[in-house]
Amino acid sequence: MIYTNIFLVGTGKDLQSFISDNKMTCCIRVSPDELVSQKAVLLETFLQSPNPLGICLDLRNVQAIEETGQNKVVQTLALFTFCVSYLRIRERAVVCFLKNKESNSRVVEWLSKLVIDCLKTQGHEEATIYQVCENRQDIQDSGIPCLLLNISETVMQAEHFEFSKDGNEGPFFFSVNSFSEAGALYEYLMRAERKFAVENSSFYEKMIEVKQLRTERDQLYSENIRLAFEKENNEISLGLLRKDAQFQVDWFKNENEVIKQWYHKEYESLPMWYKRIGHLLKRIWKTNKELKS
Amino acid sequence: MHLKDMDKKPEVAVFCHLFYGHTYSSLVADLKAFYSVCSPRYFFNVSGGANNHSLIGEIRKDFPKAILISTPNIGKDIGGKLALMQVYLTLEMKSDYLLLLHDKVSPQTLNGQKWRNELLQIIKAPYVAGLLELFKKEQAVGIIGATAHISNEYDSKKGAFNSNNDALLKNYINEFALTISEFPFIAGNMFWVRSSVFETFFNKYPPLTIRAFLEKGNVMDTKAGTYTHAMERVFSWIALQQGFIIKGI
Repeated sequence: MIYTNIFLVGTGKDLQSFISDNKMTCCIRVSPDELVSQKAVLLETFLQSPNPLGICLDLRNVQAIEETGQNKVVQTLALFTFCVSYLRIRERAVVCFLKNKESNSRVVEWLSKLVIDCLKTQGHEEATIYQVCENRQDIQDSGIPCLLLNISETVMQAEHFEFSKDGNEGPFFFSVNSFSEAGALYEYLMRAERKFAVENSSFYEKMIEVKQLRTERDQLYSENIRLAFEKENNEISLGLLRKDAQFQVDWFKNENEVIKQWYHKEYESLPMWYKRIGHLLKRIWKTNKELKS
Repeated sequence: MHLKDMDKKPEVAVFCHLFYGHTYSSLVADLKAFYSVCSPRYFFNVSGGANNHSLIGEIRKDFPKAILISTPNIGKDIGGKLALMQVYLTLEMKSDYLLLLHDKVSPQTLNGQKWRNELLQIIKAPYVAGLLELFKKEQAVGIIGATAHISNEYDSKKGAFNSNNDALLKNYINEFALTISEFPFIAGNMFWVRSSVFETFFNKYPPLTIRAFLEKGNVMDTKAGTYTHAMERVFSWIALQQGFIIKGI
């Protein structure tokens, strides 16, 4: 299935059974208060999820969040992003904010900024924030990607693949009231895809190829980060080995010089008569050798 | 104490931070052997590689019930262990002892392998039962690590640490209101600690808040001090501050 960027958004009640049966990406819809008060249960869900799982923070009708609350929300979100299955697009953690007309747009923007800053301090290169709206008229131009929730089946059929044809990777968000009801939607998506595959076979093959290449790209991207780190470590080790080797070379050179100097010093301090006898003996040995040969 | 508790195996939370995948296999046999002497719960952090599927797969195969996370590489093993501590606290887990481990490759030294072997003595079967017994018998012991790696950089005459981290260490001492006068620590940051010691401290000072200030990437303190290396020392002092002592094996 090529629905890589379709996210089902729903509450976490029956999520466990849904994600173990389906290979779709899901986002748990929670209010800021629920996120903090149920963080233990939610963390357990993230830790056990076999499929990518994200958070969709429900900011509908939220007018304000007090400062301590904001910090707790972003810290909890940061912790969830450490889970192996946390939803990432190209190593970037994805966080969605669900809003409507009644949402305070300043809260949404401020929270987006806080989340991005917090994830950066926790080591993420970048975070991807999406605002998701239920109605087209709620979309405001705030500089943060804003997407429409609940695209109808017809629009989905018409738009998703057409968008994909134009290189638009989504994501596309679908809201479900309960994950136990999401089976029908999943079936629908499968049918829509099969239909598209029959009608656009060569294009569909390319889409599968692109999907595989993207997966490989993401893996290589992570591998690259790890190898860069190892390279840096190896350079450090090599530098140390060179330094150590040079130290030994210098030590022996120095030692050689010290021995030479010691020899000269000791020789020079010998009495003259001793040196002359030495020269005389040398000459006698030399003459002896010459006579024998 | 209830009679049935007399034979109860101590519960141990094992925090293992991995960055270099190749070192993992050397830990498996020792970690699995824990089941004979205690009830272990394994926590792994595969740092910098949620896409490191092969290592993650190996861990899941060897330790199916392990809690597994993957953090960006911040604060090296210290940052990784803080993240694991935050997971532990958030899940409201309880244990008797924590064991802090990491892959300890130390590319900045030529005797890294020797250090690693010495530090990892604490997970070898002949020592584990003994040190758990030591914890039980000597209530004053808060931390147990390798004797050869218990260091102390504090010069009481100068009132300073013989380390590039001097200023940062003093910052942490103020920030965490540490009132200790001796500053021994387990260099290499692999040790056993009573869980209550870390639970008390990190419930007061959230691990992720501390982690946010640690340096990113391949952090060294050979030229200048780092929060990462300063925090490494603080890990041991947490126990001293609560009146416990450090014991070497």
